[in-house]
Amino acid sequence: MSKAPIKYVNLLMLVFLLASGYVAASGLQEAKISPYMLFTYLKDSNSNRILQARMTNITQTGEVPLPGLKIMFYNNETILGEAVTDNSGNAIYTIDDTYQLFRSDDGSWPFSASFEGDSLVDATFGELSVTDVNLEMTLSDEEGKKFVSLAATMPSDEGQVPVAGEEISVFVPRMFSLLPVGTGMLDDNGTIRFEFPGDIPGDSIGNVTVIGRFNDHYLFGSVEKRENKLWGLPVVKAPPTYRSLWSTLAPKWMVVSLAIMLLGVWGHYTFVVISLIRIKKEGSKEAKK
Amino acid sequence: MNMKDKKKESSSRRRFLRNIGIGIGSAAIVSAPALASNGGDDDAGEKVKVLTSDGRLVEVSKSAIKVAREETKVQILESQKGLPHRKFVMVIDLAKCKNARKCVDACQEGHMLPKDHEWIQIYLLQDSDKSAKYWFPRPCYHCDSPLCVSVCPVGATYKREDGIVIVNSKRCIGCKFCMTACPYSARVFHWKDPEAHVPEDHVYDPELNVPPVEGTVGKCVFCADRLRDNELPRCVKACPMGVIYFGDIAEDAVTNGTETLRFSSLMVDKHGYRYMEELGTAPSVYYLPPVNRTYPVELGFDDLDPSISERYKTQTIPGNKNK
Amino acid sequence: MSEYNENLIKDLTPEIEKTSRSWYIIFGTFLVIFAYGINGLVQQIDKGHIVTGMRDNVVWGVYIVNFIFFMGLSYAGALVSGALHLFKTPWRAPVIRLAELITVISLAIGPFFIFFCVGRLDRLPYLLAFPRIQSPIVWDVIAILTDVFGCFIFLYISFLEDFAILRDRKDLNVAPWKKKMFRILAIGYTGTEKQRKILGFARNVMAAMIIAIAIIVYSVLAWIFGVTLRPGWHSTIFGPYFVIAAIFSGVGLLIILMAIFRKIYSLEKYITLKHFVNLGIVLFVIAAFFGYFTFSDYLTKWYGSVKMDKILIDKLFTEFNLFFIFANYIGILTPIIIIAIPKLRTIRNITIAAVIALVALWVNRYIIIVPTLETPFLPIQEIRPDWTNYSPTWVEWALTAAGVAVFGMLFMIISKIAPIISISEMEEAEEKRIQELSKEKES
Repeated sequence: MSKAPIKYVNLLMLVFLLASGYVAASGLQEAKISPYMLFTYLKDSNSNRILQARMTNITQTGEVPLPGLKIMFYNNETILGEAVTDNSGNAIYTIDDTYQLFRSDDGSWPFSASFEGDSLVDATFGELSVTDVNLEMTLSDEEGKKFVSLAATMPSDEGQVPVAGEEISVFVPRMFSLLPVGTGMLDDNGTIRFEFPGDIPGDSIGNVTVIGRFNDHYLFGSVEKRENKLWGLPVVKAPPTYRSLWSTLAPKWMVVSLAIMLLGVWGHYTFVVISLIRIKKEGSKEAKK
Repeated sequence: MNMKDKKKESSSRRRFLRNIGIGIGSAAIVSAPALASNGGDDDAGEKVKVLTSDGRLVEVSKSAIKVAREETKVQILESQKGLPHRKFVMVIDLAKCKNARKCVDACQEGHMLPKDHEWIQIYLLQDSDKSAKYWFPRPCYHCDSPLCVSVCPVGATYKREDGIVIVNSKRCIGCKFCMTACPYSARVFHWKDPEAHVPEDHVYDPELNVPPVEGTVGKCVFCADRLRDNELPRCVKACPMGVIYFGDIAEDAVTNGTETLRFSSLMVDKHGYRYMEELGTAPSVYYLPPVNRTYPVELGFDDLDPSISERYKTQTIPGNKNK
Repeated sequence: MSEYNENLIKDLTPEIEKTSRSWYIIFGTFLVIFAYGINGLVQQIDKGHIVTGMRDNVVWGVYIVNFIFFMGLSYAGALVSGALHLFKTPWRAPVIRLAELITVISLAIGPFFIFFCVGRLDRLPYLLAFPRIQSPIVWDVIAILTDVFGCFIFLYISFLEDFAILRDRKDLNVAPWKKKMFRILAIGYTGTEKQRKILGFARNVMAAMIIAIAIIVYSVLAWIFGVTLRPGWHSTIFGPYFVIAAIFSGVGLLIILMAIFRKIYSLEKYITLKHFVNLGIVLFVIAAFFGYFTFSDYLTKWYGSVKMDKILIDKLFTEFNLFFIFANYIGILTPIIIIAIPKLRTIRNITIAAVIALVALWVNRYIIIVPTLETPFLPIQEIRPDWTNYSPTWVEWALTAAGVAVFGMLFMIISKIAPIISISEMEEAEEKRIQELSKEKES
């Protein structure tokens, strides 16, 4: 587990406490929480194989993450390792590169994750089987157009075999999710070429991360390749309205008009008060006479 | 420990969690990994007992907690600045809404609102005599030219750089001018004590806006607290029909939790529009017209509490007496 | 000292010297009503605003109506006395003091209704600590503060000479603390040439200022409604309309108070039918203007009407029909008819016309504020009746009554301290009259 700086941890306390509140509240009386496990596999851009178990409690108002639960990950019957769910309910285990995984007869790896259950939460488990696939992505600029070429191969007894007829997509990561910019089927050679749209907003200089990905594939799980390119439109944020009706500072003309009016009126008041003082002075002068 | 003791221990922990869990931002609970990394600080002096995320009671130095609390206090000033380089927008697909009201429930739960306070309210509208009726969820529109912000005398409500109009319940004097100024009836007032309980050391934060304060105004804040964690607002997540899409307009992408679409293509393909555009407030919420509907309107009356279904029998076109 | 002046002082000061039993009884009644209102206020602070009739749609109710009403009454002094003074109207002497008193007292009461309407009384200082000058409410706060200060100065300046006269009276039978008070308040004014000039000039300056400020204050109040987008409020005529309505109510109250004080202090010699008729004519003219503005507003709303305007007008002519007829027909036509026909111009009739006008104006403010709030753009889809239609509760009526009671109480207290009719003005008027008479004799 990496060391989380305390500020990050305490901001996550918001989510955690909400979760534990829900956990506590939904665990009414003596009923235990019956969790829902979403068990997924991801092969990321660096070819790391990652197993993720997400534990949530489905309530009336939505899904509530369950943190602090210990999940055991298995390959067939062998324990791979364990992880504790974080504040978002995710328990992540990265399979070591050198580890030799058990393969079923059809060539896929069987994985399972289990939670033994504790005093508050029932036990549950999940299974999936993953066929390994190698994905390559090439980004190219031709005649002013941008192209994403993807090639997928599967390891088999005859070596690497092209993956044909499977769906694959190109994504661009956005704030909450991945935005699909192209979807298609791999041809007989296991390749496909997408044209990358020219009007995807990027960051301030136009950087954008291009992701070629099998998204939750029934055979391969999620497999992706990411690359940063200057293929997006640079997005320059408009400067905020400094002075307007709804900003903190008022428009200049308002300030000036108000100042003039107030000075005018209170100036007259001052004059009158001074007059009264003069009357008083006159009176005391008269009295002295 | 026998079964009875175990049950007692777990139920008291449950109660403890429930009491604190409903409150937010308490620094008295620290996660196990964080404890592992900096717990056992010998020179910290005074120790205090806290509950960790896996239910263990441990001792932590008080200074660690104090630092954390000040970090959250800073957030009130942070909440005025908003998320940099973002401009949030919401798209509501009226063709899919069937008045499931999960958005209302999730919002009320998340912000500890009393049951009659609806920051997102579902109307049954009918544009003219011959048009069809449709369900119309109305959150706060976070207008780009917000009348409510212009009229606030003390600056209790303000528009941030990321487009979100937020309410500071610590500043609001309850004059209700913003409520008369908002043409969309998006704001509600706490007429009596909302009786919400938060832990004693809870630090107020306008982005979550908890606890509600009697005598102040409240409204939808696009769940600004969740946006900081790159999480979608509660209503977006809760909708079973995927009616509400949310995103950053600068990124040209909106998502309803399941599907992500380009905002610009949604506007073009489905003719997105803003409600009462002619008022000139420039809302940040767009609607997709109720054409090719997924569900008939009548489905929206299913399983409804009579106190709610009755209200839709009043008027759909303002001024026309309903049949 | 001339015989006229002797009689003047004898007639105008007895209240200062002794207090009759009926004064105590009336004051006590007001005090009881005030206490009832305070009880309502305590309930409101304790249980929250839910004890009032205001709910999420009609967020402004009787309190705001009262606020606008009382602020409008302050126009009596501001415009009437200011204008009367600047134009040197010959018959102004007996009424000018009354008008200024109405101004100051109603300005003291009006803002309290805003305080009652505000959800967090403990945060009122934020209005001064964190003001946003783009907000019409801040404009209102600044304007009212300026107005209150100005009216106080104006009132004090006009009282100054009377305080000097009372200070100089050796045979005035009052408590020593009152004598000391007169001396301090007179700040050494002895009526020298120089002092007179300074005072006269200051008075003219303040009279002009008061008129200008009063117009600004009430326009700002009108713009609190005018700048919103709601049907019925988003009207360009609101600024001038409210100013005219305020003058109307101010003059009406002036007539009523004139009649009351004339009766109880036996001032028939000084406040005559002529004063009633003259003020009645002012009332007539203002009523005509007011009727014209009202008609103009509703005609344009009704003729080429946006959907929401049509809904609002339908509402006014059905649910609020009686209110509308009383406020905009009876309230305007009665004063016009009574004063237009010379035979009907008696003190009693003119006072009745003023009473009707005053109440009609309160109802007029009510039907400006409440029906608009009951017709928002998005239909009110509610089953709770108190959330759909506004009906004021006992708390709001109690506080309204308390406001009126405080008005009466303050007037009664001031009448014990200083003469209701300005002695100095009367003397001045008498001097002028004598001068004019002698001029006539010479020619």
